[in-house]
Amino acid sequence: MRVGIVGVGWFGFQPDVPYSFREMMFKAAQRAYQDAGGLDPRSEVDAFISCQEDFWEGVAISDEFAPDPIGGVMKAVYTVAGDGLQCVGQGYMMIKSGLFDVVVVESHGKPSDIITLNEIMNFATDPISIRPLNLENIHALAALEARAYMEKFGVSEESLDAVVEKAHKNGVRNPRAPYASPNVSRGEIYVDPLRERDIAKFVDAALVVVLASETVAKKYNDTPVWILGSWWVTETSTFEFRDLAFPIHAREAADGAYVQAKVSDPSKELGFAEVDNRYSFKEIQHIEALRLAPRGTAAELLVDGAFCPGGRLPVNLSGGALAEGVPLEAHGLARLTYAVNVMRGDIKAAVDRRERAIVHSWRGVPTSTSAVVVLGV
Amino acid sequence: MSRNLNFKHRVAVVGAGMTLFRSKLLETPQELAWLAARQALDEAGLTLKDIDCVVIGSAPDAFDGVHVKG
Amino acid sequence: MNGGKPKSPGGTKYDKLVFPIVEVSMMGKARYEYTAGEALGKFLQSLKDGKILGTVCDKCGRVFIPPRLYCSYCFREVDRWIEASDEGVVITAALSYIAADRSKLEKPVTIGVVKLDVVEKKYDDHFFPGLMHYLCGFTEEDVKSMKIFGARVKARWKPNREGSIRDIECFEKI
Ligand SMILES: [Zn+2]
Repeated sequence: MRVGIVGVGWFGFQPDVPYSFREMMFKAAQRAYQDAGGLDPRSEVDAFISCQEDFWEGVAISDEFAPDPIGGVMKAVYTVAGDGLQCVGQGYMMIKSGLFDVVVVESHGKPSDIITLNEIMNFATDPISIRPLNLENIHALAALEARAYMEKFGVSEESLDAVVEKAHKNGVRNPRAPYASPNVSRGEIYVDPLRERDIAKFVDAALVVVLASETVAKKYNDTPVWILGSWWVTETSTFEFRDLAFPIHAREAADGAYVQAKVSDPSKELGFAEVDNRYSFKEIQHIEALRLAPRGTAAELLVDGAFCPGGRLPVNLSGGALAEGVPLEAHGLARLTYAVNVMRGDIKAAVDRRERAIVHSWRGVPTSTSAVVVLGV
Repeated sequence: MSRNLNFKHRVAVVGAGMTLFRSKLLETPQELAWLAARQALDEAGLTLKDIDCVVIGSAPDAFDGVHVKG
Repeated sequence: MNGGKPKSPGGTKYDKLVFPIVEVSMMGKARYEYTAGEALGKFLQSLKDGKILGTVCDKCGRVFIPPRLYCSYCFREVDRWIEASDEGVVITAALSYIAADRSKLEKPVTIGVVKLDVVEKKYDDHFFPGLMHYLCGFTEEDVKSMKIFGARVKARWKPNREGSIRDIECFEKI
């Protein structure tokens, strides 16, 4: 029993959307159901899943706010405290189990509502051993990983230039990339080695994805995009215990998804990738973690254009989070929906093989969670 | 479509663990989770290697004062 | 590594504590600026003018107060705005004797839910359009005896309004 994506919808991708998060969810859901052949969520959906976090929302038990705007009132709805791709993993399992035919996945982010973003992110660090340090800038945690990686694999800041340049160049062709502005330097130093434009900005957005079993998928969409594999991994909550030089959570998540998708040589079998680049160096790391290039080689390959549009394996044709912004937990669905649109041909992109792709999201500092989905048409 | 509520595969609970219930326990939430998980694995005669997937349910983040607790 | 165990079922006293008790205090600074959005934004704006607005789904007939942009039951955009009366009926009420910090209040506070009158709808033929708010003008006995149920109330508006649910001081006994 294969699991297909039969509808995708998004709303927002502006720094400060005037609608409430509920209204954004509704508008994204409307578009996704329209995309799924006018599916009626009140009669044709078996279950709904929403990926969100209370502190992002500023609402305790924000789970209770999930059903209303997406057609899930008085139906089976639950929330997952994680990235939208983790919700896709839940939906994938539900349909694989044979218990459900149609599952809707939703995630949204409204960072413009949060005044004390740095404080909220500090709230995710260990309350006993790290939070009392009151880090002035939480991006310092990413900088520590950047330096550890760059030192271990001899990566220079020129490769960060190349990532940023590629992201903004690609982003110009992406209609929902408000931050894309090519031909600008990486800007002033924030947390060494990270400069202003090495760090993705936040953005308001809501995304909805409709999943369906193979039995019913064609009823909703002539060109379903199949989920061939879906896996997610969390390393450890203790920052100091992690492998700071390499995101092994991304490696493990990818390996799980590759086993399911029967992909043995990802760098040859996959046509393109949408990966997390909320920090420039993370794109290079993730390319290696997903086995799209051997460890320690991605920086050079990237500078040579291997991951550019028309290259050997285009990565982030969308520009990724650096161009679109990070809509909090909805980021994974942003990567996923872009890949789906490329695979269906809705977005014209310079990619030779669009029939197989990998999508990856990381939950950002201070987390060590990665989720991966392998797609096929 | 329709939920297949007549699904035939059965799912069993093979081990369980539980800490004491008190108004104020002095262990951290992680330590409490570890105590219960160890009991459950011991009872099932399993080790962590046998586990495919972990599902955690706990109070919403705001009640624990920890963001991204999952 | 073996922690102590509390000894009595009700207590927190450990029979033999093998680790020091340390508590790390943390003052969070979580601050937000919620976007009211289209429906609730217009609602708050109208409170400033002393009006209570709602939205209507003509497919199922439901009236939404506080308003929504969409009908959750039909999953469609609502069709129009409607102005409700600032009078209505108490459908449930309770007395609070203790403040949020657990200190005893001098006088108990009455809270309740008020179903507002909507001009084109009869009391029973529309879905619940109402507000939870403070109730005033009732005695403790009115609430305890549940005589308050079904009582008619009217919004007591603040003279200086700023577009907040607190622009209504309370719903007052008529
Ligand atoms: Zn309706």
